[in-house]
Amino acid sequence: MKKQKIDLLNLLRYAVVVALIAYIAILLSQEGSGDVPVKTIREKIMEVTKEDGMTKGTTQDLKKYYGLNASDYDGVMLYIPNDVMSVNEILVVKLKDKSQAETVEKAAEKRLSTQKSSFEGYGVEQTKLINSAVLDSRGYYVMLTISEDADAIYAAFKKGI
Amino acid sequence: MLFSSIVFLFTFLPIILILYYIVPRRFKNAVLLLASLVFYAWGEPVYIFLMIFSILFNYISGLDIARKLKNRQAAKRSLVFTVVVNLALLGFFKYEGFLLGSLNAVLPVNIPYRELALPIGISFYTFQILSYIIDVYRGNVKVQRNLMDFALYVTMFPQLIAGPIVKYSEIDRQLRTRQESWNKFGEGVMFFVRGLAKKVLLANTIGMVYTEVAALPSGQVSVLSAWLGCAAYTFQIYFDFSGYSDMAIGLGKMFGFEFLKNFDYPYIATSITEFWRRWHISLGTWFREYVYIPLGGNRVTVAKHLRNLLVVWFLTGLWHGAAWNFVAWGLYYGILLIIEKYFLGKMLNKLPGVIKHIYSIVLVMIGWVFFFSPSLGSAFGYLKVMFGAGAHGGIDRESLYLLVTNLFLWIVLIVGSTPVVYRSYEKFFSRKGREHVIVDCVIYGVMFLLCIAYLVTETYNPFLYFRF
Repeated sequence: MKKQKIDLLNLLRYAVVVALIAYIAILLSQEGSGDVPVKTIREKIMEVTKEDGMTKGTTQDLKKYYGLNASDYDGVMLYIPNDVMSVNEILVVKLKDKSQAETVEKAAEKRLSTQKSSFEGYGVEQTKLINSAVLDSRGYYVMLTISEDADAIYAAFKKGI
Repeated sequence: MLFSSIVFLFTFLPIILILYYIVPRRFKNAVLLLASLVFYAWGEPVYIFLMIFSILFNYISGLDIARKLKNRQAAKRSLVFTVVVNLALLGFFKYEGFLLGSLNAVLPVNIPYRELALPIGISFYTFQILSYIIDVYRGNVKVQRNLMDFALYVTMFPQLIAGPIVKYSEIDRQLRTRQESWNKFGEGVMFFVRGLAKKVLLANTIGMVYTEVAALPSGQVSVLSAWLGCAAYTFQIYFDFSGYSDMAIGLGKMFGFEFLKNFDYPYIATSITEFWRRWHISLGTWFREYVYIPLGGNRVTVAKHLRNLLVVWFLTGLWHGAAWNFVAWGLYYGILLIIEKYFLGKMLNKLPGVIKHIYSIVLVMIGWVFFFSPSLGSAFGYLKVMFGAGAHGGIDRESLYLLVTNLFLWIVLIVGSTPVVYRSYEKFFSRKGREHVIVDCVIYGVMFLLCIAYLVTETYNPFLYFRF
């Protein structure tokens, strides 16, 4: 009787380990592969925010504001402010290689710093938004957002990738 | 969910506090466990299953080790299996990319791999679990037979994400019997507000200075700017992390728990050895008890002692991040501690206090360069600028602007890093009896309101230690 109990405990333990391995396999098959196209992430993000104060950026805008070449990456989503007093902005870059993350992050940090210098001193609301911007790098994706909806956008980004 | 977020402060925490205090004693742990799972799932819903599986595995493993204690070999086998599974999980989620990436770089191979996002808090809760498992094996604690209490130990939301790392032996009794009181609750609120103010008013504000320096194009950074950027990060990480620890300790008190302090004014240290007695105390204690002492500690030959120190500091660096700059940061401290122990110790004692303070803080600041740099190469690049190589002059307009416009903040940060403010406050008002309570309410109330004023316009500002 005693031996049976011992076996049950060990059996349970190994069952949990098997469940853990299966869980990780599912995670690997679903996420982190860098397979999600930027278009899908854009759709997820635009479900939680509006284009107010922003306009779709072009590859020239990416070069102008971030110094990045769109062709170096697997995909780019860029929304830039649509007037001089707006700071709303979203950037999502899908990397070809994870070693590109540092370059994109640096470019995003520089963009934030430039925006901050531009608005500091007279654009109180804008400065607050810039100071609360979200910049994150996850796997093959880098995201920057300056928006009142930054939290929701960030959540949608994490969900989307 | 961040402690310093409006949703936590005005929705999550009040609801949990109300629920916790209205339910009968036997349901209090259940409320806290449920709250902790919701808290964790809020940010990383997918990893809640990892945590649940981890809890189940280690709960069963604890039972298995405990019943085999009379047969040490069998218990040891069970312990080793448990430790390996836990470290494999941590290793997979945190170090897989680093390990395979390094192998691909060094060897003529190209091993493909997919990297998952790091489960938040995994380094902290894995170490907590290991402390339980090892202490059960050592017979230092009784095995926890109540699954809910064990799950609460692992997931407890106040310290789940960024510590302090609470050893099971410190909390075992508290899980079963703890005493809540108005006095403790009040202390908890004060701890929490103090931590919140450190994070929101000080760390976030000085963090902007660091961001500004980090965003300067290379070649445009003067020596002073580089030192100011480094100083800004030095203050940011202290006020950010110790702020989080204060909030965790405060929340613990609100729910009747007592957690040990994690910081003791580390920047007033007069040696690196002392710095590490004051910085992230719970991590240092963990490594000492579960790695350093089992390796033989200092009661071995000099060669083995040096090995033990380097192993511990290599692991300390690696614990902080899966990158060579963190390993370098750890080994940097290992080497400094060896130098202090075997060469500098006696000489340091003879030096004037001011010199010792300068010596410590400069070395700590240099250490943070390895910590905040994205790679080892950029760390050395930044250090070169700090010492004049490739710098944009000694002092430029940018650096003077950063210094002068933040002068008041720099003073507040320097004074705030010492015990002067808190001790003077306590000394002065502790003589005032009931007035003390009123003054506390007013001062902490104002601090809280100031934090809220900052927070309503800030949407996201995570704690630096979340990434570990």
